[in-house]
Amino acid sequence: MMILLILLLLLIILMSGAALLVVNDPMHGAVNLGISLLALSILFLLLGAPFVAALEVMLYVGAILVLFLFAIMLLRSPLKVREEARWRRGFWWPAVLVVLLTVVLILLFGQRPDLQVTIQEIGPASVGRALFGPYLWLTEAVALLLFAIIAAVLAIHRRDAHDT
Amino acid sequence: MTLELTLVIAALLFVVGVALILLRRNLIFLLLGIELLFNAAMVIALAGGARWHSATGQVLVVFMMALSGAALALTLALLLRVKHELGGDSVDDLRLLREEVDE
Repeated sequence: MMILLILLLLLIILMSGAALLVVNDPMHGAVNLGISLLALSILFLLLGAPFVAALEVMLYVGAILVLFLFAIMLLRSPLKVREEARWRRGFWWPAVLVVLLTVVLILLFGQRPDLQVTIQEIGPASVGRALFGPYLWLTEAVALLLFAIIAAVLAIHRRDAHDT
Repeated sequence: MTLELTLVIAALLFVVGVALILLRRNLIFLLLGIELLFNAAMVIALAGGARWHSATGQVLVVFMMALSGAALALTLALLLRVKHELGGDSVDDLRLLREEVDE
């Protein structure tokens, strides 16, 4: 059962990766990346890491992918007239993959008990205890790094304003 | 068997990420490939954590998420600046970086 689920996830990641390699529009690429990130979060759930699975959805699909979408929207050159089609063109392939992901979710939560046979679930409590216990200084260093990144991004845009 | 398949998924993600970086010319796709590489590393860290029943793998993944987000924010800002200065978002536009600076 578990093997079947992971094989299905592998299939989804393979197909979305193949789609990433061939699509032309960056927006379609971002959608396909989102599909593979969702599949990865289910894989993390299977590996007994529910905290990281939730973080994957929130951070990657929620923040990083939206960052990509903003960058794509800002990068796209304006005034490019396209033909209007009935359906959006990049629609079908991600839709099929989303249906496959739903199948995986149904299979995953359809029978709960025999999932954690060899893999123990390590919940958010122990992860948080590790983050703010032995790894406290590393966490603070990452916070400092994020602050420095904010300063760097602001500096890049500031020079932009000076030039023009 | 589960962990082996997980490592296969990680290898697949790594191959797709490297192929995106090497084959595509659009800089956005290059950044998507870098994100896939980060995700392959995260899958391997989680597989290790699951193998030895330790929370350290998840801690490593949390740090990797923060680092990849930071790197991506900076790179996207640079990408917007490249678009503004050089007028394109392809790898080929970056070959002209030196001449543009000289003017």
